[in-house]
Amino acid sequence: MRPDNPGFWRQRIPIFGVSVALIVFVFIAVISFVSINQFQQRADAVEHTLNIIAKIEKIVSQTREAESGSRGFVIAGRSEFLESVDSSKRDLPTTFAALAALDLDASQKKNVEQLRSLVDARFVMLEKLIQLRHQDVDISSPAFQQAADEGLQVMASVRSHVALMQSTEKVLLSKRDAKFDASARLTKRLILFGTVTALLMIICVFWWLDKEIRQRRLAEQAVVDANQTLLMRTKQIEATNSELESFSYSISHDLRIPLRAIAGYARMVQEDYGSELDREGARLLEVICSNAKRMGLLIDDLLTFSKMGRQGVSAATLDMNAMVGFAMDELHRKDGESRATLSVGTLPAAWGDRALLYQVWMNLLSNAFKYSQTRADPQIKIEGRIEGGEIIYSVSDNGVGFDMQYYHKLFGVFQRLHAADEFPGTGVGLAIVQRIVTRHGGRVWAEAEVGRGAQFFFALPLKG
Amino acid sequence: MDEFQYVDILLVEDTATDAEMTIRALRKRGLANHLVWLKDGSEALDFLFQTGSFAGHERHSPKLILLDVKMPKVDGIEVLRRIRQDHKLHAIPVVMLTSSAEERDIVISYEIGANSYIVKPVDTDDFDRVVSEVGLYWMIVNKLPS
Repeated sequence: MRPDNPGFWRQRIPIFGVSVALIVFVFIAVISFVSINQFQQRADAVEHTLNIIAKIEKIVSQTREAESGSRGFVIAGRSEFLESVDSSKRDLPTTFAALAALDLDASQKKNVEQLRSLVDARFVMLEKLIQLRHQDVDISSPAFQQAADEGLQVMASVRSHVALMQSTEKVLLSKRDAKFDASARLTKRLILFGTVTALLMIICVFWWLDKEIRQRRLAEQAVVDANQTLLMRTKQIEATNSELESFSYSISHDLRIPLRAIAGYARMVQEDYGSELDREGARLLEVICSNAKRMGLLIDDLLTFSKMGRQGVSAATLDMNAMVGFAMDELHRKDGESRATLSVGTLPAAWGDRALLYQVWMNLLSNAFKYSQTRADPQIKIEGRIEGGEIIYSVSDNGVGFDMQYYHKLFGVFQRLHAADEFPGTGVGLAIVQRIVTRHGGRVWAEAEVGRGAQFFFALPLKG
Repeated sequence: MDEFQYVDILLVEDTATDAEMTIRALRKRGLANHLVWLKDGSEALDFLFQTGSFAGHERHSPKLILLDVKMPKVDGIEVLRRIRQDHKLHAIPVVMLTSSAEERDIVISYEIGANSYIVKPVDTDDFDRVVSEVGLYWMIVNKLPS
């Protein structure tokens, strides 16, 4: 089907609709995948933030632990309090390293460094207090008090710095959240819109297909109905045809019996009482005989003609030159040697029924001889050629020809274009020719001019 | 009856004109001296099997039977079938004589065992020629077991 055909695009509506729906579904799948990925990333980011906050808090608590350990040592003077200071001092670098290992942005990195120096400063203060306690400096002495004050100040700085860091991280998280929410909203809308579009497309395609199938079914039903009607008609025609054929057959058969009696008894009169009849009586009897004979010929031809319709066609490859030769021989045997000059061209082989096509040649050739016999130099020409998928044979004579205005009667049954006493015949020969050729799927035609001759053609389809 | 003492040809023909012409053609050749003409198949069966109006008659075995195919009551095909089934009559030459060259009739006749199947010509000369040729061939040329 070519694209300029309107049916071309009509046929492609379902393919187009389903394709669009498929593309939309693929698009939705991609969006969903991206969205799930983002969700995963968001969860990772939240964990990351919580992790950072936890690490910072751990640093604060370890620092506090060291602070409370040193405080205990200062008050009680017992060295086991120093253990927590030592463990904190030992653990803090690990905690800082863990914090630094987390993926931090530049400002947070700077904050971590500041926190580290603040924590370091705090430890310097704590160690100074511990040192003073070891030297048994009085807690209430100005040196002690000063060291304690400085320590408190550093600790306050640590606290405020930690608060800053935590709030910074929270701000970062909420910023990321906001971005993610916007994209999630877009995704939700795209998925909703896409799904609705694709569903609509599929519904449209289904509706269209349903309509198309219903229409097709109606059309098919119409074709089936038409075929049924045609089949019935054909059967009726066939029945009528075979009825007509058997009618004409039985008529010609039943007519033969009384006809044979007329001819036979006239002959008996001739034989037994011929001597008692005068010339006129003998002439009248002769008229009866010759007419009975003529009617016999008519009936025989009619019988042949009706048999043509019933007889099956058994096809074979036929040598037409040989067939024409046989037909010539038979005609010469029946009617005596002809004066006609005969020229037979090379005839292509035919595909058909031997007996039937022989009959065609017999009828055409006997006509050619018959209608050219009155000429001084009768000439008959037989030719054959292949043209346009058919084999065309022709029989031409330079005989009396016929008037083309009566052409429509030429191939009719019992139609004669010449008087019976001028040229004998029943007027069935060409009807038989036409019937046989038509049964072979071919055609018959003729061209003629009064006094100049006639040319008869018959064309048979090439084999296969 | 005396007239049936010796029968050469049995002609079974329902059309009187055809029968008369056949007999005339045979007589011209001197072949109709011992000819019996019967008008339909049932008469023929009565004659051959001594039943009906021929009950009590002597049995006859003609040298040739000429049988019309289309006859009222019992047709030629049925008569032929009965002849071929009878062990005494089955060898008698039977020639089917008919007005129609119906393919089906020809096939059946030969299947049952007709010796010949002849379509009666309409032309008087042809008719005479065909009938006398059949008579001459089967009565004189053809040899039968004695």
